[in-house]
Amino acid sequence: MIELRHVSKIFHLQKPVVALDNVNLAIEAGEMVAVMGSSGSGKSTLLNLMGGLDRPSQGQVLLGGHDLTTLRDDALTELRREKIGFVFQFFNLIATLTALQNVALPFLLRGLARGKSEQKALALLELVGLSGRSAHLPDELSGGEQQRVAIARALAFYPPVLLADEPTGNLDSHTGIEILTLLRQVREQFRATVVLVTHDPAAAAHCERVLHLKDGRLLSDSNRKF
Amino acid sequence: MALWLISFQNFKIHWLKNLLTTFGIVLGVAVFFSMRTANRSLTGEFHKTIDRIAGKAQLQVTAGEAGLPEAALEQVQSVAGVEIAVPVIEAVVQSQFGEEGRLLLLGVDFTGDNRMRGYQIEEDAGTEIEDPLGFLAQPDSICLTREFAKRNNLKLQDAIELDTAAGHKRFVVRGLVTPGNLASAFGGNIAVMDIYAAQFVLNRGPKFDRIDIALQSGQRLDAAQQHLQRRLGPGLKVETPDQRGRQMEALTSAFTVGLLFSSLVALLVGVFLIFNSFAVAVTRRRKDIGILRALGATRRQVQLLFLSEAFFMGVVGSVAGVAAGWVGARAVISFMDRVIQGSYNVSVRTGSVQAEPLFIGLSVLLGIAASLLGALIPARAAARVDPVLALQKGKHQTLLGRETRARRLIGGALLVLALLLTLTPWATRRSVQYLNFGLVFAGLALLVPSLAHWLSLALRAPLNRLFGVEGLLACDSLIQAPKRTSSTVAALMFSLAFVVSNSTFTASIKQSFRNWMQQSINADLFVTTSESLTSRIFHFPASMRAEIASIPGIRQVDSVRIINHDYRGSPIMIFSVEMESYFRRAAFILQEGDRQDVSNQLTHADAVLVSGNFSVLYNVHRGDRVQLATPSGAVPFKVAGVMEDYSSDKGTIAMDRQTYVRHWRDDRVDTFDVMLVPGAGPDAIKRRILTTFQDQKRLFVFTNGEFRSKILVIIDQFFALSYVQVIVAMAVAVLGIVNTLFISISDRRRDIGIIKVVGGMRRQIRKLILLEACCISLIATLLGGAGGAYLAYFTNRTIGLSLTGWWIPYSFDWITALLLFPVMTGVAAAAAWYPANTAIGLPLIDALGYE
Repeated sequence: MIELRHVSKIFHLQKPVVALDNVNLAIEAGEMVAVMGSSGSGKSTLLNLMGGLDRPSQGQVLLGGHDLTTLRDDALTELRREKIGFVFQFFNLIATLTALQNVALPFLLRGLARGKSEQKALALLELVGLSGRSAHLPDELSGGEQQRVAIARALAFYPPVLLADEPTGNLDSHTGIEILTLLRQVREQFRATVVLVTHDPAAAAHCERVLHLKDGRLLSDSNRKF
Repeated sequence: MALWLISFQNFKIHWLKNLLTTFGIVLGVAVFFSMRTANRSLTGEFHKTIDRIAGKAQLQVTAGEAGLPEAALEQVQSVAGVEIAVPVIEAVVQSQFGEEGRLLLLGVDFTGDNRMRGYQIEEDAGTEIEDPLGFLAQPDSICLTREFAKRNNLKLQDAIELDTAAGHKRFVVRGLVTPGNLASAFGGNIAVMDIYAAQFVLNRGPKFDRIDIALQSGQRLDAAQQHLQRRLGPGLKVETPDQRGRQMEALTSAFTVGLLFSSLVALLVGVFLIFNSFAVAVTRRRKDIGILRALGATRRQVQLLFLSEAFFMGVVGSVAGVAAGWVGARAVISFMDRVIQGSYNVSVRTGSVQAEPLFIGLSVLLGIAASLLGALIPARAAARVDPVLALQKGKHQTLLGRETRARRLIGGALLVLALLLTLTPWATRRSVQYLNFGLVFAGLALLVPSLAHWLSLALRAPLNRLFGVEGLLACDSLIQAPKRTSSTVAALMFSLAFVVSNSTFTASIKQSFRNWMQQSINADLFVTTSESLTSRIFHFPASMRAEIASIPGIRQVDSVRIINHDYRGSPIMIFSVEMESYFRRAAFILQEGDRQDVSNQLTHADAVLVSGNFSVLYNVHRGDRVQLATPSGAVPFKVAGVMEDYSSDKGTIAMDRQTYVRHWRDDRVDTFDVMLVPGAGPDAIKRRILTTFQDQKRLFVFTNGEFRSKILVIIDQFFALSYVQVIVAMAVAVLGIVNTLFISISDRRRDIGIIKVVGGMRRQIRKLILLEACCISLIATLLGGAGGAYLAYFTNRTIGLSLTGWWIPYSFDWITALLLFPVMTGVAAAAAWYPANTAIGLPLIDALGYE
């Protein structure tokens, strides 16, 4: 489903910083993978490249057969909309929109009528157990609830890939477990590929495959020996 | 020191935003400084010209525009204590050298004038004229200043052409005035000639414009002035040169107060820009504030941090504003000079900008105060930031506070109070008017967030239908974060309110003038001595009336004489005409009095008709008496009626020509109103008049349409400067939109990033930003239109009424108000284009990580 071929990412700051160094990786459809590593190891960079949020300095990133490095901005946006769902550590909800409006946003952006969009959004909020909080603004929701809204939004078009960057990093352990359980349910219900960036071994334990990164290099992959 | 470092870094990183904000202050101060400086330069130069020409004169005797009889000179000279008394004729005439060739022509008596003014006239460089009397006995002799001659390549014995009462006439330069006080007056454009020659070329008859007096040493000025005034009687006026200079200020007061009023609006718009910028900066820098507070900075220090940044921006903006205003003042001076000449018949010539250090300081202080005022509330908000919340990542993503009900109530109460004040008897007091103005602005400023919020709610559904999700998101952005945009809406609203009120006030005046002209100015042709309707340098002899009347096709000719006359320290207008025939032909509106009765009184007694504004300004009504100082003494004229009239913003008194001639001993004519026999073509008769008098007289003939158009041109010219200010106010407003959008995009980088992540296309994001800008503009235009309608009413009913006495029927300028919608929407879209493209180009990773 996702394939990285000789991918490197160098940030040109005051001096060049190598965030990823010649990473080769393949993730099959339906897998739930955890990416672990210390701070600055390149795990978020890896996730951003997989999601087309950033472009590699070298190498290829393939998603469902599409080479993300060759796609133009709008084509990449379209691909993200159809094929990738994102869940962030800080939820990244639009503060000025209600929970329902936040989830309806992808539908609206795709051109669906407001009524239909909100109907679909409500169904997704129901799926994550938040239909009763649909009219609330993000600020009026707890951290766990905000993350559920973010997951509902990520599921808008039932994407085959769900990318989650520290989804439990800003939550207490109990709520974190709830969110990870929800992600597992989603993966099972929609047969989605889930890639999870985390530094928490307990969160990684929910995944069947764990990747370890260090200094931008893939240190270990629980599927294979290095 | 640490706080300064933070500020320095902020300026360095956000230099463009800070520059745009500072530019608002630059524009505000520049407009304020240039308008006031231009005005002060002109009045200063007018005073200087009077002083320089006055020479040693301590007192001056005048009799208004009608002039002094020659016999007055002997009378003055015979008064004890008078050392020197010399006559003067003074007029601004045009030479062949265009606008730069306008000359202040002085007719003087060379036998004694040199003692008064102390100038020297040279036949050649360094050689004084030995016999000035013989030298100037030739009637075509003229002296110019050395500077003017040099500028225009003129030498002794060269010819110069001047406009005279008899048309263009050739004069010979027979002397040069050496540099000195007199030669530097009126920008050096001085021409001196013999007084009797001046009487002839200007058709003044046996009259002088004034008599300059130097007193014997030891004489007390005020005592001598009173003594002279008693001896000469009320028909002549004895003043110091300085008192005479103040007349110009009195004459143009309505114009200059209007300018001051509108330049303050420009500064006020700048205050809102600063407020907006700082309000958003506080939100953007919450984390920094949190860190500072965690490190031990007090609330006071945080507040000081923002206020010192505002102070710095205020200093930079004000200094740059003064510099820009200095440059702008040059252009404004030449423009105001034309307006004052066109509207008030006062000529000033100044090439230099004169600004007192005190006023420069005041302008800088005003700019700094505006900047601090704008930053005060955001700085207080910064001081109240909770460090714990500010430091929690993600907590920034909260909604900005909503407006309180109390704020709405206070805003509404202020507006009601302002409205009630306009209905009180004190409404015409200047202090109450400024208070009222302040209340309106404060009330609207407090109501803007709520009004903008409600209008955004109303726009949500139609915008969604019209523009889909982008319209919805644009509206939601305004609905959910009113504080982010309300100050821009306020700045734009005030600018547009200013535009609408200005255009409505102008439209109301124009409409009133048109109606009045339709009724009162109904002659078929107008024969004048000048192309400019207000210029009264040259005059026609009374005998010319019969000559014009003898031209076939002409039914009737009326002789109009207009003079400015000092009435209780204000230069009112006296209008005289053959009233019997004027009443027959003109359908002017009488506000008080019966038409037939008024006509009878005017033609058979010392009765006058006063204008409506004269009646308001001086509380004079039918049956009252107005005492006027005429050359034949003080005359208590009976007020026969009150008429609607817009001839002068100081008030007009109309009287029968015979009454005027009898009391003012002046039978000269400014304009002949010509009525044609039915069927006669105005253009053909106009040509006939021109042919008859060509080469004899300086004269211009206008048809009724041309005459009215010229009056409208004068009105347009009068308001033209305020149009410039309108443009500046709009420029500040546009700056506000660009600034707000830049700030809004910075503030919403994360939101824009999220929209892109969840599938927002580039075009959708561009559309969203453009629509947001258009929404701001639309809301501001709606509010500005309503605010402008009220401000125009307020200006009309209070400031306009107290300054001019005109009760002008309110006529809302729908055309301008409606035109503003497409224009401002276009401006907003254009202003948003660059910020929109910036938003599209935001790197996603950075945007999502933005706090």
